[in-house]
Amino acid sequence: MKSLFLFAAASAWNRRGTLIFTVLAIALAVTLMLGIERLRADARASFLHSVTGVDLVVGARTGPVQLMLYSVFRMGGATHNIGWKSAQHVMQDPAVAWVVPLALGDSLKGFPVLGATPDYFRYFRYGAGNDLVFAEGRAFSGDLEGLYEAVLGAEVAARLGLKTGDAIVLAHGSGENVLNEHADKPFRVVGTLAATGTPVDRSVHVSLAAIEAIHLDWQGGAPTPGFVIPADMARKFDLTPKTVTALLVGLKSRAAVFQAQRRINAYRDEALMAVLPGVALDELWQIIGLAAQALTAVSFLAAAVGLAGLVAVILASLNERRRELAILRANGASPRDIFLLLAAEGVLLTTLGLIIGFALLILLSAIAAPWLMRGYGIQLEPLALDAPALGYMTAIWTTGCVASLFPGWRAYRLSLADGLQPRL
Amino acid sequence: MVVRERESGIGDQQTPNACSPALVMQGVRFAWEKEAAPCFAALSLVVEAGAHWFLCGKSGSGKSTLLNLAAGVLLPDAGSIRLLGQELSAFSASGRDRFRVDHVGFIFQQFNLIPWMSVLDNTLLPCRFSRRRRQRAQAAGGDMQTEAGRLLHALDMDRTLWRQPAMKLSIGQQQRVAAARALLGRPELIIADEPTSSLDADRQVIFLELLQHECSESGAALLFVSHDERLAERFSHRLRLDAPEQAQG
Repeated sequence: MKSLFLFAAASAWNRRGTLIFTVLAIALAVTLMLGIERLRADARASFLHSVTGVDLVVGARTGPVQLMLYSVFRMGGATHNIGWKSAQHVMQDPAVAWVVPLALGDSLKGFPVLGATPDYFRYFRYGAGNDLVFAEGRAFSGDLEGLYEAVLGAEVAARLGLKTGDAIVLAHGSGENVLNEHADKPFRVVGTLAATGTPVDRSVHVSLAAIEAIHLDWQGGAPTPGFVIPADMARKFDLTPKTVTALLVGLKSRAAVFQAQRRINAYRDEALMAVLPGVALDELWQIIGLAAQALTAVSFLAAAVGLAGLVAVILASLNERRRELAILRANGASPRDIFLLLAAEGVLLTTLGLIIGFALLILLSAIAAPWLMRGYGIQLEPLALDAPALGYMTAIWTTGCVASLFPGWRAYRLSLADGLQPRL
Repeated sequence: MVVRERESGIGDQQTPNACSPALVMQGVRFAWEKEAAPCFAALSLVVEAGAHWFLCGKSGSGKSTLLNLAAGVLLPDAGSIRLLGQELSAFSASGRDRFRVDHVGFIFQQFNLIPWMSVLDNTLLPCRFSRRRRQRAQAAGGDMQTEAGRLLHALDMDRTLWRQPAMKLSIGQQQRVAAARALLGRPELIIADEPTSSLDADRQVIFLELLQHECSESGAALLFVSHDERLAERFSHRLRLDAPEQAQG
């Protein structure tokens, strides 16, 4: 039995030129299937870990999904900001315990800059209710003394090689290609956060007043020509923000969340929208999940194509191998041995495809992980042979083995008909 | 179909002891299709242990059918075929497969070797499937490889070729490897079906001499089929099969 398997392997190796493509097809199907499954699970986990402890997210009236994307995931920009008066209105709502206003729009070498209050570090939770922890330094003070202080997310600090005490210059606008820098008002790093695996890692945190200060002498997204307010002078101006991008809201009691949401949505002076993060994430997930389901269906098809190809290739090789099989018969192989030989080849190729597919997935995730984190805030979990992955692999392997019985059976019939000498 | 016996060897007396004949066929009747005229009506043949038989006849005369019957690949419609005293039809299909590889070595006209396997591995092929052949090869040479090497050497296969894949060999070399393989593990019967037909005349004689010498060395009976009657004189026992129309005419 063992020697038969070795013989099957040696024979397959001799035909490796054609068989490699069959193995590759199976491997790619495996990569696709496991990759999609893994991505779906990780994307979901990352979404749900992104924001906890926040009862409502308030922004200008758009879609709830869009609001979540720009306020929590810091992807894309807000089409409208909300006025400071509206923010104050929300703060005065009887059910509200705390509000952290967020101002977005600037960046540091592609990383988004978040204007917030020091409360952000107190109230923001991620994962299973974890606090933000400082790896180094402290929060920005939020007063005029510490106007130009910045706190870096873990990835920002690591990627840009910044530490406490370093000076940074923010750029106007977001993304990679920004034209104007706030070079006249440099910031000093006062703290860096420990890694969280959420978009916080990719954010630069400054105070709301600082955002206001660096834009004092700006108009319509560009410095006003011939009008400069030096950094120190900015402290003499009123630095209360005129607009903010979104509000993170915590309630005194979670039970009041729907009434609070209704009151905010009904605010008459400005079109506001309050969103329950969990609900919005669910909605977001349904969109992505649907695509993921379609991809899963495609990956199942790919696996079917791969295995059909396997059977086709082994069957096609059968005719040219009739002599080989007859030689084996004349030297003592029983038709049962011939059956096992062909079935073993299918099992071998399927197994090889699985192993290569899994290795390919490890390689691809290593390549894609930083890109996924930076671009989409999806934290890839280290690849493991967990229950779903094992389930898929077992399913492919079993199907491959069952499919391999068919060429085995054909060879069995052929070897009975041919006897010791094929009639070619 | 009529079988004409040229030499002695036909008979019904057989000894059921250890020195029983290699092959005994008695009153064998075989037809490819039930309604058709039988290929053999009442064939009888005794191949004594160690005897060398020459089997000839034109194509279509049933040479291959006879070999397939002798090897138990085909079963007779009537009559008895005993290989080393064992009635072949008494075995199960898989039992016949095992018995065949244990006691019979084959050489065909061509395509004897698996092209991608080395000469040595091709020679050792029967030992993969037959414990008896393996044990007998080990007993003869100390281990199978040594015995296979001895046979390859005896059949004039240069040692440098042993590790080469079979596809690199000439036809003549391939036939000699096939002969070494058929002899490995000392089966009692060697069936050679037109093994020289792919060789030129000089090589035919050299091959046949080597084969007969090694069969005598190992004590195996040889059933040698050829349409080339020039080789017949080298055999002490001969059997001629006639095509049906000749027999009728």
